[in-house]
Formats: sequence, structure tokens, C-alpha cells
Amino acid sequence: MTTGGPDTVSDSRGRELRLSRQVYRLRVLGLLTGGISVATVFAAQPTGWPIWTVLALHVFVWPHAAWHAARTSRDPHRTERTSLTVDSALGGMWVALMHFNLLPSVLIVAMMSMDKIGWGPRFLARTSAAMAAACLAGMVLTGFRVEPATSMREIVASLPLVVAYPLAVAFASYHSGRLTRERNRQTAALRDQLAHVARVGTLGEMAAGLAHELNQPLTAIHFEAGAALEVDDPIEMRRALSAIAGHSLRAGDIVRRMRTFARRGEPTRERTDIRQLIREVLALLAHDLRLNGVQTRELFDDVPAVLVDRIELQQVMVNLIRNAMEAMAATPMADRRLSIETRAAGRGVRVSVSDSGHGVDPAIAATLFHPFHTTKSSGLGLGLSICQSLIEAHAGRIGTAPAAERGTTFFFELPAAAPAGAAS
Amino acid sequence: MTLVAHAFIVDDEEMVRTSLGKLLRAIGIPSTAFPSGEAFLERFTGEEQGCLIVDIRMPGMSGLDMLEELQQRGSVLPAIVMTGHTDEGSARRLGSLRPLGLLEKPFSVAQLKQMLRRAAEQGG
Repeated sequence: MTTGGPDTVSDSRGRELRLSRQVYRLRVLGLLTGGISVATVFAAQPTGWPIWTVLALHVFVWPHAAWHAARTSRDPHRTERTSLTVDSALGGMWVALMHFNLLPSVLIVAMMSMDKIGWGPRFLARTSAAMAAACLAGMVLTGFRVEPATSMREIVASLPLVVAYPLAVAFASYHSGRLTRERNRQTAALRDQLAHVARVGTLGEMAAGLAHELNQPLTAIHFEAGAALEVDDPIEMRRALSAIAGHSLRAGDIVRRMRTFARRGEPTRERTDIRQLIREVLALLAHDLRLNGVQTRELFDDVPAVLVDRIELQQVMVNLIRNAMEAMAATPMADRRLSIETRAAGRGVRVSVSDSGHGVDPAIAATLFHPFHTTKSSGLGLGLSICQSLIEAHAGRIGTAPAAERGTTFFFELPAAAPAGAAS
Repeated sequence: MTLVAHAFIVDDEEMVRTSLGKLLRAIGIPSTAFPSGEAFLERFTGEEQGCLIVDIRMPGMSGLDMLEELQQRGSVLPAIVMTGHTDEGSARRLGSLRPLGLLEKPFSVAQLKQMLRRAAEQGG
């Protein structure tokens, strides 16, 4: 390509063009960085240091190119000028993209990858419009001092490049968005499987308590039936039978709760009153709480409904409450207090579970939510890390704080559901 | 059929206390129910006649703790022990306490009656 030394290049018809060494280098650098940036987006890495490096390079390269093109536009060599103008237009486009579009489009890619917005005609139209505006701005900004007769041709000549680049970016961002969505879907499927396995494991640990809990109504039913068989008074008999009906319902409730908890299904999102859900979980853990002598306080403020997968949220609550109980294992029975609080927080709901136990060692507080981190003799140390991923899958956050008096508070926040009846 | 004069039910489960009381009344035995071992010991005078029906697994003082305390106080009140399941540790402790019998929940009325008869024979 280079024939007459570093200062000249040949065009497609074999004519030599003189270019200043600087512009030539800048063009190569510009093409290189452009290539890297497209490749980066293609590699489905729309964020991180590569894209920022590329963007930073553009900031320096293209204004220089544009400036230089403007300075050399009085050069008598028309073709050279044309190519430089294309460069300057492209450079200007880059500069404009940088300011007006590329950054947002990187954000759009990132947002798409988080499934925040969909890939649809509206997105396409918006991106295209932004790109076109950016190109226009670039030409206006840098395509100056061009003779009118040449100008039209130059603009037309630059169009393929000007159009191709945004299209490449748009396609690349779509592609990377699809890759990311696919990856997110796989991650979600794995998370659900892991959560289910953990739930079944937890249920196994709760089995003794649940069996005992189930035994109570069964025993009572048996006693009532025995009493009904012994008495002659029809009123007494009716009383015993109605007690049997009540106890059997209670036994059925226990079985239903267990089965729901262990169920495996596609995660769903339902409008849920979180307080109702917490009461269900407390019922599930009633026996363990009572046997451990834990006094439970419910401080339930009026809170908006949340859109959640009930089973997953139950799992989080079971985990937090069982952790709280374990933290109080060494606490004198009279001081074992569990308080569960719900209150409105920002545009969502905050649920806190506080215990009066030994508290969290500050040394391990930072790694509390890491997987396979455990201070217990049994268990894999997955509980809190699963809680975190479940809460984050609900666009919420989970954290910990020292409790008011002693012990620990675990809390999570969830966004409020859209008002009932509103289109979601 | 001779049965005990009075039964003292100690169980933390309200529905079990109530239904057991009802059953005992139906077969002609008056009973008093206590929600915990502590509650029973507080009222215990040593002059009680009859039979204890006590649950092992309770918050705070367990049924075994209560029986050991009674043994130390020199009580001769016969005891029927109710349990969900018995682990090795509590089985060993039970052995030294020599209760009248062990009933695994849920148990039949016939089993309970048999125990109560034995309690009556022991002088309950």
C-alpha cells in the first residue's frame, strides 16, 4: 500500500496521495481502535476496562484527526481532501457518539444484558435515530471548509462507513445482549436448582421437628376419638368430633406447608403480602421455636405488596429464622428473643429478623454471604449465599447489622409490586 | 376395672393437654393439666395421689429433668412418659428413672388404659 515513503499512500486507482505522517498514523490507530471496540462488543463484554480503554483512545485520536483534516483542507489534492474529510466526518461522528450516543449505547447493552429492557422496534428506532443524529452532528462539527460540489459527494461517499458502523454496533449489542440473556437464563436455572436442593436439605433438618409437630394433632385426634367412644352424652360426643375436625385440619395444614416448601417448579411471581408469608413460615417453624423457648415478636407495619416467588421467599425467611435460633443456642432460655419487623422502605419493603444471640464476629462479617463459608459444625455454608442470590433475583438486597441491644439483625429489601389492577 | 384416682398431665402442647384431659374424664379419671415441668413442680407438695402423665420433649425443663427432680425430692408418684421418639441419651436416663411405662405418640387408648391400670396396681 505504501509506495512513495511514509508520507504517501496509493488510492484504489493507483494514484499517490500525500498524507502527513501524523494523519496517516492517526488513521491506522483510529481503524485499530474502531476494530477493537467492535470486537469488544462482539465478545459480549460491553463493560469493563477494554471498552473504557477504547473510548479513551477515541477521545484523543479523532479530535486530532478532525482538526488535522480541517487544517489540510486547503490542500490542492482533492482526493486526499475527500478521504481526509471522510476521516474528519467519521472522527466527528466518533466524538459525537462518544458524547451523545456511544456511552448510552454501552449502557443500553448493559441494561439489555440485565433484561431490563427488551430488544424491540422501539429500541432499534431509538438507537438508529441517535446514531443518525450523531453522524449529522459529526459532519456539521467537522465537515467544514468543503466546497459544496465536493461536499455532497463526500457525504455520500462517507455514508456506507457512517451507516455500517452504527449497524455493526447495533448488531453487536443485540448479539451480546442475546448471549448475556442466555447466560442469565442458565444462571437462573442453576440458581433455582441449587435453591431447591438446599430447601429439601433444610426440610430434612426440620424433619424431626415437623414430625413432632404433626404428632400433636394426631395424638389429640386419637384422644378425642377415644373420649367420643367412651361417653354416652351426645353433646360431649359432638364436642369431641368437632375437636377432631379442627385437629385434622391443623395436621393437613402442616403437611401442606411442608409439601409447598419442598415443591419444585418454575419460579413464579405473585403479588404477596409479606406479613402473611412470614406468618406461614413461623407456623412451619413453630415447634422448633417453642422447643428452643424462643419468644417471637412480630412488629408488622403496614407494607405494600411485593411481587415474589413465595417458595423462594419462604426459603429466605426459614433460613434467617433458623440462623437466628442457632445464634441463640448458647443464650439463656429466658433471653432468647426473635423479632421480625416489616416496614416500608423507600419504594419497597424492608424485613428485618433480629435475634438476641451471640452476634456476628466482625472478622467474618465481610464473608458472611460468601458460599461455603460456615461457622457451624454441620451444613455446607450455602444458606446465606442462596438467600442473597434469591433476594437479588427479586431485584432486592440483603444485609446485616448489629441488633439494637445485642445479637444480630439480618434484613432484606424488596421493591413494592405495582398497584393491583395496574398494567405491569 | 380399677384405675388411678387422679392424673397429672404435664405437656406443653395445649391440644394434647385438653384432649387427654377429655379422654381421662370420659373413662372416669379426674385430671389436672400443667403446661410445663416448672409449673407442676411449683405446685408439687409430695402428697399427690394418682399418676403422672408427662411429655419428654418440652421447652425449658424437659420431662426427664422434671422426673429427676421429683426423684430427688423423694416422690413415689408413678409416671407414664409420653414421647415422640426416644434417642439413646434419654433412653439411658429413662432407664435409671424407672417410669411405669413409655408411650410413643400417638398411642392407643387401650395402651393408655393398660398403663393406668398398672399405675393403680402400684398404689396410685
